[in-house]
Amino acid sequence: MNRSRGGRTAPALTWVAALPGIVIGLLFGAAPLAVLVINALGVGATGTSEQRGLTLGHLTQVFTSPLLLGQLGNSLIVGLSAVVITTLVGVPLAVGLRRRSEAGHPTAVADGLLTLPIALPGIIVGFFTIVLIGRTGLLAKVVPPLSGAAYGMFGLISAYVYFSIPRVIGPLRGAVQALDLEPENVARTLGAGRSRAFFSATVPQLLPAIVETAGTAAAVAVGGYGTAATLAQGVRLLPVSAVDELTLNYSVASASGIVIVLALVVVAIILLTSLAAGAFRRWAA
Amino acid sequence: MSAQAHPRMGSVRLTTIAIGAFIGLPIAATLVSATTANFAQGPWGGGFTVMWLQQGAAQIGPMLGRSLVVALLVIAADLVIGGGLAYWIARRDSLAGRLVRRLMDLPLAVPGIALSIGLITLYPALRPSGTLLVLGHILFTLPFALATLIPTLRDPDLIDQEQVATTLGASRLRILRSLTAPTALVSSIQVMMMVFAISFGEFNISFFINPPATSMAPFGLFDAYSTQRIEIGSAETVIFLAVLVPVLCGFLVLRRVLSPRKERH
Repeated sequence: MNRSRGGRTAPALTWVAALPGIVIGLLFGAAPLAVLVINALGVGATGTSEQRGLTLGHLTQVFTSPLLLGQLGNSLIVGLSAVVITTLVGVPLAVGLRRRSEAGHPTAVADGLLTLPIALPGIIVGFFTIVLIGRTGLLAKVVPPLSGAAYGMFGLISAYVYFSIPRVIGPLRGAVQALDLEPENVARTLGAGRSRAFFSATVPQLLPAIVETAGTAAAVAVGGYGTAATLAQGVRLLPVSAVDELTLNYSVASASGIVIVLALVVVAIILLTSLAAGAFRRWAA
Repeated sequence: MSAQAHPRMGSVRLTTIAIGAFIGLPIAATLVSATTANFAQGPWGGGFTVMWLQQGAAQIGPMLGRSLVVALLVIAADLVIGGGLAYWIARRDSLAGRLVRRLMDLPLAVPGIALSIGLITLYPALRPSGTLLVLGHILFTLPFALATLIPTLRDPDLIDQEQVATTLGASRLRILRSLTAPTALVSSIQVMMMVFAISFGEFNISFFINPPATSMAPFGLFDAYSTQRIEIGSAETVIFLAVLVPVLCGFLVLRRVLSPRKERH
């Protein structure tokens, strides 16, 4: 195994082929991130109305301004609850789809449909919400209280569920495919009810993958801009304010501070969930 | 099949239908809105019309063309740049390889708007020409290209075959053309499909980077959503999807045709 791995198998000068990619990663990935941090600390680019000078204020404003803190809260509520809802539906669905395909039923149409939203930009998902439950929305015609709901918590969470379906169910389908369903079958044979068998035999095996998938999907949802921007008339999420700071108020440092906090929140979600997944894996082993 | 299994089959089918409706309903509703004279009066209120579709096509047409060109450039760049980088990382189980992988995965952890704000403050000079837009799209799509290409290029069978060919005196170019590239063909189609979907629909960086006169299609959509009638927004969305979905289906068919038999379902 080791014979075919390692540096010896890489012919000389392979690094030349790797160089353009590394340069792009450094100049257009790492460098803008560093600039963002410098701007956020007040010692880089500043807007016309902003004081230059070292400060943590552009970062801490997210926690000291009630408005921004509320938007951070909204972002977390919307992103996390959408992913939790999608996961609660997705886990039994993924297991069920595997059983269906093993029983000889085709699942290609279901899989295609569940994957489709991954190709749709967030703004389109936001617009879909307006077409259905905006002020003149189609569903709002049938259920009048839904008129304008697109711009409230209900609309945002629905939109983010739509957005999260392929990002949660796709990876879960893969994890379920590798799962041992025998313990659940044994539990059923021993007289456990359907949900009892599912929760005691299958869910624990799947837990690391569930937590990891949910974490990645939540990170994408919390950091996403398009859907939030399209539905920004009512409940506002933090990324919208970050962009408005730049495009409406020309406050580069303030905008940088907000997106750095947003990025830290997203990284914290990824780190915490992958740590939890690792802990579950060790505990199961 | 035991009798007990049947209720679950039913509930899976019901859940799938419910989620299918959840995904399909807004698409159908957008189609209705795009062909309705006055959507405020309900579905097809004021009658059926293709006027909005014509008007929407005139507005978003040039932007769709631009987005297609950018997506093709990004696909080509990702295959060349991502291919070279994936090869290097795949054949080198070293700290440097792992660090570079972390660096390239940065856009997966840092939100798109954050990197976009950093990019426009750092490189304002690259903005008008669209260079920054293309480079931004390459940056955002490379992690996905690497995730697909690295495992393929790390395949022990491929490495063994390459070593045999080298021992037999084949040139590097010959090995690349007749061994490495064909092995990575299906993965490359997968990369092209993913990169196309991401680049064509990319909104964050397109929102900041392109000058208003040369907007990308997603920016055109957003503009229609925020400033125009819901019917025009719907029409432009329908046209956008009418370009996106067939291209993705084309890649899916291509991937299926080119897949080795054992990988087919």
